[in-house]
Amino acid sequence: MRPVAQASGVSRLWDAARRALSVAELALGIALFLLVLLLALFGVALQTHDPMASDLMRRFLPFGAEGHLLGTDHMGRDMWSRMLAGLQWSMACAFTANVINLFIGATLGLLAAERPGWTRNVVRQVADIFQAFPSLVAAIVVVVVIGDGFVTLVLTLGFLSWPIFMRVVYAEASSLYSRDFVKAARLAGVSRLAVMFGHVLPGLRASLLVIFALHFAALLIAESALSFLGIGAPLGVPTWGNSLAESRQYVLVAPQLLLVPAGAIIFTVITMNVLGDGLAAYSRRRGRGIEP
Amino acid sequence: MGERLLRAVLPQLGKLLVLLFTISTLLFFLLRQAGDPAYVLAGVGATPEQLAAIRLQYGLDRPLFGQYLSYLGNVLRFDFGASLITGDSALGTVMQRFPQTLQLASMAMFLSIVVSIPLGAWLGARPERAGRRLVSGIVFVLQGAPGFVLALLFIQLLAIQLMWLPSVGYSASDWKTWVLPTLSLATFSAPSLTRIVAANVTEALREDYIRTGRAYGAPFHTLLWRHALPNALLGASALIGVQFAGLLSGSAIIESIYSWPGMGSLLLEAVQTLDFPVVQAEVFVIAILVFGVNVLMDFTFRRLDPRLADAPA
Amino acid sequence: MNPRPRLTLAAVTLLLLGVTSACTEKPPVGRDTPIRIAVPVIPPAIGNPYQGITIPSTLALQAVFDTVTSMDASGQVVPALALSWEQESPTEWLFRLRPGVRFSNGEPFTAEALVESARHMATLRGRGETIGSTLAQIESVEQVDALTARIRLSEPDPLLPLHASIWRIPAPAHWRTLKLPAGARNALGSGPFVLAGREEGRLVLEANTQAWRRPAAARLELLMIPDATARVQAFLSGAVDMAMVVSPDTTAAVARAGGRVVARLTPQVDLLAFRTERRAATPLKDPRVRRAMTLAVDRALLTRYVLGGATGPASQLSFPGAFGYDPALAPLPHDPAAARRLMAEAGYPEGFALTMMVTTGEVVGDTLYYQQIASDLKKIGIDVEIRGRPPARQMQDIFSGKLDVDLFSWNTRGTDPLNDYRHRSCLKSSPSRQPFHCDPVLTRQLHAAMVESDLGRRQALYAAIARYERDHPPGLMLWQRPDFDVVAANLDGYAPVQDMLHLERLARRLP
Repeated sequence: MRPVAQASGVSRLWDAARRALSVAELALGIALFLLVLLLALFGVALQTHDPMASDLMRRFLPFGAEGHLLGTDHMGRDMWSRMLAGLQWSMACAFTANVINLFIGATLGLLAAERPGWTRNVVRQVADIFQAFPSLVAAIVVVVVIGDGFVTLVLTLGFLSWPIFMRVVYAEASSLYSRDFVKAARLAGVSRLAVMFGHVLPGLRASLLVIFALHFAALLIAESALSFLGIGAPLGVPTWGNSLAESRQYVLVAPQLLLVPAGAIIFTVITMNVLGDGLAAYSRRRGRGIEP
Repeated sequence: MGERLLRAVLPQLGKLLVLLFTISTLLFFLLRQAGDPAYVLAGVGATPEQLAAIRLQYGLDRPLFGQYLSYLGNVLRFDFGASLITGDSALGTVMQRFPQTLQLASMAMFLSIVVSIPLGAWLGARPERAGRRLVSGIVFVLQGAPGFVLALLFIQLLAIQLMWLPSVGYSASDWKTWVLPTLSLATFSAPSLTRIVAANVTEALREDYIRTGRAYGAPFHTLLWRHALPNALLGASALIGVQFAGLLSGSAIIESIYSWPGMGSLLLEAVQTLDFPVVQAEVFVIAILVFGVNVLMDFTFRRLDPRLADAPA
Repeated sequence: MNPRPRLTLAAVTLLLLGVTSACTEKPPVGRDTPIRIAVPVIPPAIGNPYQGITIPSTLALQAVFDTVTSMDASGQVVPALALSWEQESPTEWLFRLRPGVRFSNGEPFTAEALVESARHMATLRGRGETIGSTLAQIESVEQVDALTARIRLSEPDPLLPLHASIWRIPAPAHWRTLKLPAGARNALGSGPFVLAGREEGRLVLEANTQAWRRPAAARLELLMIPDATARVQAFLSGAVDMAMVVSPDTTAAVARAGGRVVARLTPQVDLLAFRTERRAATPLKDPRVRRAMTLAVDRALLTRYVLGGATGPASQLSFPGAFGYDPALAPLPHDPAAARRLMAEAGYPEGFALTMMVTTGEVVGDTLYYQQIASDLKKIGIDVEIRGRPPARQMQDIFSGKLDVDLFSWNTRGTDPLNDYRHRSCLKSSPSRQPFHCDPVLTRQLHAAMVESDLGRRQALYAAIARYERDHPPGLMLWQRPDFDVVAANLDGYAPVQDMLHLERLARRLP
């Protein structure tokens, strides 16, 4: 990218606009994310009905009918309350799986960056192998074979996509390990772990946040896709993927049932994407300011 | 050239072998964990004597590790055995489904390239204009939407309401059955491709040579289509490779929605009926396919971009 | 705007217009236009006459093969390939066969075909197939003359003519040339249609004009569409004339498109089988608990609002028209208060937790009623964790002993309830089967019924079993399963009889 100093007047204006935009995007991302987070944590208080309570005499009620804000589903359950309950389940699933991804990916990435010998080669080869294999295919095989259940689902999603984290952590940590302040710390006899957690890891915060946000969105879609194929979360668990899969059976009778979970998924995915993009743009901008 | 090609391909081949060995091994033990193939083979009404006979016939009575070794030996000869359900060759069953998946993935990739490149160029040329902002927003939302939701909406609109196209099914001779699956699968890849083309075009238009061109009075659209876009496409071609591999291996959902007889729907069927040989053959084929596409794209990419030609693999 | 994008826009618009005009052209409907039927599954091994009993998976087999006997709507056995039969001894039957029948390759149908068929069913492979294992009592067949066959049994079976209604006969000489197992699907029959084409997900059946069941349509096409909604959508978009197994909730949408949704009662009773032998101290051992669970579930509500009123709560694991059905037996009512009392009596006033394995996707809306049943059971303190499975997978789990749950979805199949009693008691035809319910009283009754060769006495024993089982339920009995089919308004001849859909009667009314 061109050095900022050489930019013309128009381009400087353009850069300023972009900076303002990136800050605005980040702010929007954070605001949306906070909204989703608050709904996930305190949504129970907003539930107007028991999300599991069915009433077969009141199936397929339209939006707003009989005190049901978003109507009722094929079992007469309140869609609004189910959407809020689903938020918790879907977020919990994507979050836990993502944390597992992050943990495995970051650990291996740091290890590879710190020990450039055969450890690095092995880790990179393993990551290559994992990444070369399509994760949807792997998820289908593993989830069906090991058996259904929420834990299996989360673990499968969590163990399949860590190479993304590993690659980023490895690339950035390697460059940090070659920087003077890290070298100095190592020479001064600071322990390996202390260097890793005290000097290197903090430098990775920004990129980890970005991938965490973007990958969160991908996991949310993966959960709904598996549920849609009938191999996701167990029956009766109101994840959005399950709601979507069940609504599909009634798309001819009550198409609005599809809109609620689909809208919720799209909204959350966009939130995480905006947040991730915003964080990325922001940290790029700050990063450039630091660099000589 | 030949030697260089060999040097580029050999390490890749080594990786492929490691990959195939790893997944074959994992799969063998994973599937054995799921159930005893003898029960699938013997059928629902089998007596213990029948089960024992089948175990003997298929070598299922031997120690697991011995079975594993002979399985590896067979895999080396591309022999995955016969489907437990139909008795046909497992690899043959998979390869029978392959053309339909290849067709669907190719059509979807073609459609998303044809749409994304002009659209991306248009969006990227003047990203600040209001109309294009709106379109960018829509593309962004589409990128966030799970592809199968759009597929369901397409069916509802184009097949049920307007009755233009069949909602389901596949016929080799009837192109109308291809339209909706292609359209739906393309929505998986087109939004992100559009966005990357747009971003690259915007970036390219700010390069010095374009500024110089403008200063000399070259028309904007010539600069955009002749100079900025080709450069932007270079960056996008890597994504196209990744996406094509994804479409080839990840069409299970679209295939199941449209009852498209491809490899994705075969995998779902085989996994759910515990048809081990077919699952093993299918996973093997997918791994080779994805790997092949990646290597091919890598190679093409290097040919396209002279700066990368001499870089190490 | 610069000129290029404008040009592109114009080109795209033109292309779209072209596509839509091409799409809206519909070919004219003629006499040879095939009748297209959407089915949930076309088994990969379709064509093998010995695999599969229920429709819709055996739809094509019913068209290609004839059975030895058949059944009418009231459950009476009627002639098919056999015209008459008589019992010579408890284990010997004489069947007189229909003259003048030819297989589609020209082979004449004689007693030799039954001899060959019984020989196959007695092989290791044959006993593993559904027909061979269901007709395990048939030991061998002897040809008395060209049109008379003597069937020898390994155990007395006074209901053999009834059981023979699932016995499909392939052309014997042709069968011997087939390379099994894969070749079995190329078997030839004497039915009203021949298998003329087989693509992935599609079967083409052409009329066999020589058949004694004369086909009304020239061509049938079966299209496999696994998803129920997609099958209805295929009908609504004009892609098929019939769709098997759909949701009754789609009735209004189908009617708007000029079709009807018809309820077809299958010869199956759905139940959630109790696994009383799983753990030493399971609460399910107590019949009061099992009765309480039945009382707790509002089955009438489900059948009325979800199954379109096509069926009602089951009182026994049998149904009107089946041998030994007792019409006087009333189903247990919906009575949560009584259920709670029984739970307290049995020592579980606080309830307990259970796991339930259900097959999903086999019946439309099944996920709905399993969830509803779980929520009804929760009201008497029973926490049910539901695990869903594809149907094929569950069968294997049951028979390989991997079914680690307390309840699982199951159904009784066929017109003789005793077929199924073998599966759910200690009186098993196969010791490898995991007994999931062993009641010593019931086992004695079952054994008595099984060896009884007098029809009248056997019927009385069946009724006694039904009465005992209502109060000592082996499972949470649900209902006789209805399936719902979409039939186009201009289609005549849709008249299913239990597990038989006479495809030869289907005909399109031309305008």
